[in-house]
Amino acid sequence: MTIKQILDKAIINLVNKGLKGQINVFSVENKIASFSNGKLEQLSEGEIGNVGIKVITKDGKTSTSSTNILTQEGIMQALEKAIDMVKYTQEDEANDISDDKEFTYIDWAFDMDTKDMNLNEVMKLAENLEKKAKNADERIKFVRGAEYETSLTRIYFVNTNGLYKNALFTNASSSVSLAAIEGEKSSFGFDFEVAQSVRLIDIDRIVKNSVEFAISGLNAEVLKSGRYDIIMSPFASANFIGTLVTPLSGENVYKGKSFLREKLNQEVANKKVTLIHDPMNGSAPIITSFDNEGTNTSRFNVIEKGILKTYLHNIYSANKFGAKPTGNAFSSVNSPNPSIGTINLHFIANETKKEILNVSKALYVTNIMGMHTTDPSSGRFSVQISGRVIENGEFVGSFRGMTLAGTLSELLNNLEAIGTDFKYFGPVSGSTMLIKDLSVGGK
Amino acid sequence: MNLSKQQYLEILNNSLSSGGEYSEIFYEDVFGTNILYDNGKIEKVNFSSRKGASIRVVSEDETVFAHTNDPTFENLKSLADTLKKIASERFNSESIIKVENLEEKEKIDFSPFKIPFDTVSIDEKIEKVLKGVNLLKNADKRIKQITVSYSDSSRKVKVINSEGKIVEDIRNYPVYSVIVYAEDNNGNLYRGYSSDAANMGFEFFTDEMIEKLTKDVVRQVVSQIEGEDAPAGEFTVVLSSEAGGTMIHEACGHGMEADLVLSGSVYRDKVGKKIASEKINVVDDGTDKNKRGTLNYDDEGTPTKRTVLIENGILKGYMHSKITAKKFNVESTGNGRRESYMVLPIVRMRNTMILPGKDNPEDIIKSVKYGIFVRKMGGGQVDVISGDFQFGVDEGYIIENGELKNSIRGASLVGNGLKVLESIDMVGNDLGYGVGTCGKDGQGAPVSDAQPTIRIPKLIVGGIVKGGSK
Repeated sequence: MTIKQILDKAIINLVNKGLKGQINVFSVENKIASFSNGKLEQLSEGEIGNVGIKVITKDGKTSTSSTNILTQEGIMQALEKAIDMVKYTQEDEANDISDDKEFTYIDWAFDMDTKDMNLNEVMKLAENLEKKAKNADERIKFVRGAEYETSLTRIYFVNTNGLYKNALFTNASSSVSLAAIEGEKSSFGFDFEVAQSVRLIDIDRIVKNSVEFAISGLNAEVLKSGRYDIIMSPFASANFIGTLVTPLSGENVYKGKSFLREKLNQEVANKKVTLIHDPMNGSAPIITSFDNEGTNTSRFNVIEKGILKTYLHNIYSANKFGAKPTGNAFSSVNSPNPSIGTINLHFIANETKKEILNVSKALYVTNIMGMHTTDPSSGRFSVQISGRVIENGEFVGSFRGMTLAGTLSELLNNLEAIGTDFKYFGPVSGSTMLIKDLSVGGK
Repeated sequence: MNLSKQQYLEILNNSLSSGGEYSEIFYEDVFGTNILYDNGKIEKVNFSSRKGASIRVVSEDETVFAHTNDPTFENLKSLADTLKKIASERFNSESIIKVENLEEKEKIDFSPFKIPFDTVSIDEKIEKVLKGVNLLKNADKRIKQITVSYSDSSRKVKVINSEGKIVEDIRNYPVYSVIVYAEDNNGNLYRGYSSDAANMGFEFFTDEMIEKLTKDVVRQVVSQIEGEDAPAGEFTVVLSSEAGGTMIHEACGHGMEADLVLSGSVYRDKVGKKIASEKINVVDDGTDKNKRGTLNYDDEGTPTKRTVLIENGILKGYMHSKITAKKFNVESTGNGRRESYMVLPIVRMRNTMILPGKDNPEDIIKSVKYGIFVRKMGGGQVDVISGDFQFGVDEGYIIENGELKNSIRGASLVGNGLKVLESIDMVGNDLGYGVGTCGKDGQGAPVSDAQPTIRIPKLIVGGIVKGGSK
């Protein structure tokens, strides 16, 4: 019996019981090789799967279940669990399922070379990455992990409104983490790339970035406390953009848990700032034409020239706000029941990296520690930063062990320039960004 | 997965038939329930389950690995065939190991439990959620939203390895957490969070535990509403025993995990050397009764124990898995853990703590002329190569002339693990635990950590600097 046939049977079961519901199935075939300090640390090939089931009663009670057993028996057992538990929740008429039947299958992110790459080839790429990183500079004493991975993902979505949507896409990713040591000084370096195809992964670029990261940290020092202009690297700015997803969530806004509540159509950022949700960006590593509630995705501005234009909605929050769902309910193989998220959320660029770095003085932040500790309700954050000191457009030193503190509102309002050098991280994409006048703690 | 010993032997021997020094079958069966009260009602109820098995074959320093979510004899034999094929290309096959016998290891019980989660009705579980909700409803009129989360999961694991061992273990993970959102007179929002967890059955969810968490979270959010922006710069910091042990976990523990030592951690080549104040003793204890990081056996089938990391300031050793223990020519300390059957075990902490000293906690506060008192720490992160760390402060106060003054908000602490360990000059005679899920290499592991009240003479506090940019 095919997955589609099993899902049809499950859906009929729900309909016969007078229930609404939806099912997401994820199946991922991956090949992974990682080397550490010249040795093969892991070589594996396998398939992982997960099923997420949501059941809704006529009066809007809802429950969920999940299982990694993708057989008819496994899926039916998980379905029965969800049906058993639905009586324990409370009525809420905003709970519903999608009726977004028009659906165009998009296969832009499927690459045959990536699908067909064998485990031996994956291993050779990881081995090559490790060797190049180790030999890039005599101060690189340890390569903790040089990893290469390819994956083929299949997603199936069905619901009791008769929707059936599916997707098939490939991914390739590679990363390296290493240590530069010089006498008693030591410094960490890291870089990674994710793309739709193995052809788009540049191992030499990963090595160059990670080695530069580590070497530049060897002579880093703690500077004096003060207010500084901050330039974030693409990696650091992606960290920052990632923290905006929770306060932009329609559910959090509806429940009064976001500092962006009651800010719709108001100025929340500098006029130079436009934040776009771009799930069908052809150059991004993940592209999707439907979310995991079956709503078709679209490209839209979240913030436009500083004005907050919309929150990110799933069906529930859209119903609460009397709006249309924006296609922002996402799940994954590890967590198959959807919650509000993004794919390719990024700012619109207005300058080149070169122009942004050409400042009289700023701190260029390459790494942020603890951005996940940001409070999404108040927007307050206090994180550790490290990176390089820029004077008159040149790197003149390095710093580490300092703090950057403030609020997300302050970051958005002080954001002056956004570079064109995008780096994708799945849910978000970062690029070089200049943020003026932030509080930095040091000596 | 209840195969016969003969079938296990066949799988192990098949996987080793092209070379390899060690092979292991790992099986797990996990199920759990989550209940969420949010926005004035029981909003979500979820049941999840996962089962599957994997095999790894290790030769010298290299590992090949495969997994399945349908661990029948035929499928496991097929996985072993796949690994055998890869091994024939990678490993030196001059001598082939053959496993003759398998012996079931005795049961150990550092985490006894009375009430299995699957014997408790959803109604009884919801009752526990509503207990917390009702306590919070009238706690402070500034509280606008209450989120209470109940979670339980039971994880049964089985390890069958080429050392001839069959090991079974069961871990029960109850978690209770409360979040409140409060608003001040100007409409500014504040968030308070508190949680507790263990390795035990449903009996964990006592009224006392729930009452304590709700009191903690209200005090914490009120301290923020009534607080001031934290100052930025270098200060004397007193970490309360109530703060939990995030600092020992982030700043020191990770760097003493042997796989990270092999990758250049700041603690490399320092065994036998003085790395901390003489007042500092640190252990990672897998046997601490019913604590969240406690295991009878680790995920490689090694019995856990109390591992001394630092004794009177001297580094005594690292935490090990089987792989790292071999590289260091020592025995595994039982720190090989994995998030699921789908991933390889890596070195992870269990219950990591700074042991109590001799100072009275009140005297420690009294000794500070001007500094910061941290009552509750938030999450954190560390760069293990340099030892630099960051963690958030969920509840903190200014100390002035030995007395606690106004509360602060938006603070974080950053520093370097080695430097902090060297500089701690007062260690309290108390001990407080914190719980969490530690992330490393994309894998989460249930842990706890603990510490007494300690004084750090100089630490950078991340707060707000007023004025224009430089």
